[in-house]
Amino acid sequence: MVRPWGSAFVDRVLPPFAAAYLVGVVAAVSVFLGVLALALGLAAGRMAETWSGELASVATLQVYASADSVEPQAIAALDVLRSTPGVQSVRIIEAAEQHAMLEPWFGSGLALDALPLPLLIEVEADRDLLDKPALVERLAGEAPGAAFDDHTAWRAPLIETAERLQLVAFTALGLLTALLAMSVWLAASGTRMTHLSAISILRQVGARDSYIVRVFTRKFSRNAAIGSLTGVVGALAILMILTKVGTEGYSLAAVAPKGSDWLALALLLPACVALSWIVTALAVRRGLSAEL
Amino acid sequence: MIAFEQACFSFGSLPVLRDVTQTLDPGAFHFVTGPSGAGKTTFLRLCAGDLVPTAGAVRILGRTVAPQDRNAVADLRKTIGVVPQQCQFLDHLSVLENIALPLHVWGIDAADRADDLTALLEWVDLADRVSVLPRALSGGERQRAAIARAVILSPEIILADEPTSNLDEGMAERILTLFIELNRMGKTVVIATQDLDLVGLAAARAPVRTLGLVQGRAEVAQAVA
Repeated sequence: MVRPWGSAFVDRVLPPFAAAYLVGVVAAVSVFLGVLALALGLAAGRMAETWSGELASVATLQVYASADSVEPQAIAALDVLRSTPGVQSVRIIEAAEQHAMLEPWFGSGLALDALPLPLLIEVEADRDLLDKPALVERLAGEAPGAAFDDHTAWRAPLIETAERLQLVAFTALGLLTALLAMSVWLAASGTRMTHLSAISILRQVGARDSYIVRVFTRKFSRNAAIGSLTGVVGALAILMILTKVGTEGYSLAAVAPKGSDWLALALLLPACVALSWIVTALAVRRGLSAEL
Repeated sequence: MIAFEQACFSFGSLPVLRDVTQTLDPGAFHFVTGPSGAGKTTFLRLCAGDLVPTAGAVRILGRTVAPQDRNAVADLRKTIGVVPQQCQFLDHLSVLENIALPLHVWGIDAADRADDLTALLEWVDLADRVSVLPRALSGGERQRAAIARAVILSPEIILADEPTSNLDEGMAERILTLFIELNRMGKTVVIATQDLDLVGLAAARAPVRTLGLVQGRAEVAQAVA
């Protein structure tokens, strides 16, 4: 006796159809782009957080004065800083360190000693406790050559840029989700329409809606799973390569996923399969409801 | 078992059945006869629960099927086997897979029914055709495969729509024999046909009841011993 079916007979109730493979391809592309968009969004969020958090506690005091009055002004400024509530630490940035900071812009051949560079003092402060206007006023009185810079001028547009980048990335992710859902809906509806005679036969032998829906959902979700896996693996590989390759100092390391980012990116796979399953079930059920 | 109570059915404004009041008794062999367009197929579809009357009522096994209740109709298929006029199969599956399809749909393991399946295939004389695809079957073989698929769940009622049309006399008699044997097993058989010779042939071998449909009305009901 020939066995009429194996455990996966339900996968063979309908003949192979192109739409199921197309869903796999669309899932692969969507998840591939989705992983990249999510990685970018998470990285942008991290950057915005760093710029508005960690860097916000660091400020710089620049002392512009003639060679003979730099030292007294610096001493006066340090006294002011140390007696200001909220200032946690102060440190004079040595000339060698200053030169190293400028080297990427001016190159190593330039005689930096010949330039009229200000004396730099790094200030670490608690933003909540620091009264910036009062500090600036005191510095103006006791060390008129000192200029306090808490980096707000360059941090604000960077934070805004990072936040907008994050918004764009998450919007792209949302659009990809909608695109995948629409593709699956069209594929499932179209496949149901082209298999009306098969559905009629299934009805004839007593198939309930749930059985017919299962015939479709299994096929579509399995292909979506294969496609998503391909997309996730491809995107993660691209991310790893992009973040490791690059000339010194100019790599995309900042975009590299960190910690729980990996989990969030990997979760796109089951999310894509679940979305395909739900959309297929809804599309087929809606079609079956319209039969009578 | 199946009772028509002043049942009417119309397709839009076109009336097909009018005020049909009939009872199909359990265990009986019924023929529904009438010319083409008399409403035989509609009558059978009402019996199967595929259609609901536009007026009156049809009680199937004591209950009425609500309109649009697809799952209730699906549940009826365990007790009502249907052999449609056009025997359709899933052409990419083998004959055996097609015949055993109701078992899968109902979640029954074919291995548990292996003996029944073997006996069924021998009964319809398709034991040596199980592996072929349906398109390789002859007309008579397709009818027998459709009968096997309709009875595999051992339903109480078997409805067949023109089961011998387009078959030669010998094959028609062979198909009729299958239905007579089913009836002798205690099944209620309802056959819609316009072939009165088939009715005569059946009446010569078993007690049958005929219901004549003329222009949508059940005008003649008689028992033939």
